Amino acid sequence: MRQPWATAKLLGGLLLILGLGLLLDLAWPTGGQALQLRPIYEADSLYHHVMVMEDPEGLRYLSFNRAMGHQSVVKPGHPELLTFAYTKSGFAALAFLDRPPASVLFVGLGGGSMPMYLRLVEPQASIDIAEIDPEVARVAEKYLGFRPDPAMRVVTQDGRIFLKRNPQRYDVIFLDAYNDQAVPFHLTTREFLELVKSRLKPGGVVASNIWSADLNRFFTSQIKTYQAVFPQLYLLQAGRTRNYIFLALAEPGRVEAGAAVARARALTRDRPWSFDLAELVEAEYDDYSQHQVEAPVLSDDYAPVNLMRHQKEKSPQP
Amino acid sequence: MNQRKLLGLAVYLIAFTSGAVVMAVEILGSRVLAPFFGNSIFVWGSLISVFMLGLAAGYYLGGVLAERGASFAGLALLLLAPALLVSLYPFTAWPLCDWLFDLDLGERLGPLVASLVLFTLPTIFQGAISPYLVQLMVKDLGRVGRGAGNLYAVSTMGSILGTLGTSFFLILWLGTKASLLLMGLILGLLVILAGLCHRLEAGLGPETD
Repeated sequence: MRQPWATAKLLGGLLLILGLGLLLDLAWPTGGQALQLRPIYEADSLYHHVMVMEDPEGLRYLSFNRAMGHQSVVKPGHPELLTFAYTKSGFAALAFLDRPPASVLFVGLGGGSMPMYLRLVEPQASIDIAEIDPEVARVAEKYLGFRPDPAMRVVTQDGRIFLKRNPQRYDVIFLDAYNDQAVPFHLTTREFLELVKSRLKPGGVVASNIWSADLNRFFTSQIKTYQAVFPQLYLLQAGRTRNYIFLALAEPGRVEAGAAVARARALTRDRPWSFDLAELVEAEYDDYSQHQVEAPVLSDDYAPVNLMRHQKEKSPQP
Repeated sequence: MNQRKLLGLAVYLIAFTSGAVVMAVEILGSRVLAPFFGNSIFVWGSLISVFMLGLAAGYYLGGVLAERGASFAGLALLLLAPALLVSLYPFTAWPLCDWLFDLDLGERLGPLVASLVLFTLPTIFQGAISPYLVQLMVKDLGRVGRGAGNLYAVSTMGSILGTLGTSFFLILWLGTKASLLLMGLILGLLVILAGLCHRLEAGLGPETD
């Protein structure tokens, strides 16, 4: 006698759960719906779940994971548009170099917005890009307006392995292989930075994009590790975001703010720069070479990067 | 009677701990390989399959050994080999990887060969321990399935602890080299435990029940 009633209760319960789930799914604010993004391409690669979406203005968004932010925003055919603050601040590296950049390496391609912009403003520069994921390189070319040329080549290889195998030296090395969810620990250690340093030409600059949602132990450890390897370190907070650009130089000395600003002015004169690099350098310049932080130096032996990210700093240091 | 129970407990403890150490070394292996071969899916695929290979070979060879009769003295010897090999990792693994990196075997073969060279041998010994423990513990043929099942369950529970403990805590507390040394030390303690069991068993005389 009780059985039909129990079945009805069970079915009712299931329906309720289903309904709630549906409601939640519809009501849940997804980035896609809020921005009216239209998916263009989606596929699993060896390393990521690669997605390309487009908004009504024709901006295209590259992302590697549903839960994560966008890796890159570009408008194909418009390399002059740099959407993310950190991509602009990254180019401050050029203001710390005492000559025009003749050879540049990017570790991490993403949507290719930075290499394409560099190609636009420095047509003579020779540009190497080490990107671990062949699918990302393919998608950047097919959907994101990335155009390699004889002097701009992509090598699909882990950044550290690329540097280890290639003795070539560069004026500027951009490190942009991190994102907010996954940090490859072997690209954060003192040994890795020593390798990067050994691939710099005299006076060369390393520019590293470092993201930090809050002041965690990992962030201060990175400052400490860069200081352990490079005599000069400048931290630029990109447009008040939590994106920092670490600029590091292998030689002792100091690039004064005024000198960097003047250099930025000279560099951008008569070139199709879409933003004022000199103004940016003036606003964001911060010399960290002597800044004292208490944190362990990251090494190949000790680099618990994902664990440290969850250790809050007691006193805010930077 | 009570001392027989103690020996049984030691067998489970060895199964559990050895299971934990295998997985701890596998997780630490990824930290050893990353500076040379990255931490791509190829590295993880290589590592996992090489550990499976070592365990498979170990299960087989351990079975062959067990057929000739198992003793705690033999168990101590079986544990001694990985104890030494794992303790030596902090000194051998990095130079070996350096050498293999220079051979430039490619993004798939590089990490696979490195995993084979570094991790096969100790894993074979650790795999051999499982059937050997079954032989040591199960005297009643009618209960062999039950005994083997218990041992596998305990050893795999150990593996869970080894995996989570290493990835969640040990890498943060000790770093890679010290963690590897610790694993070697733990295996060394198991050697001593097996030796103690050997003496205890010798004192007990032949089984009478």
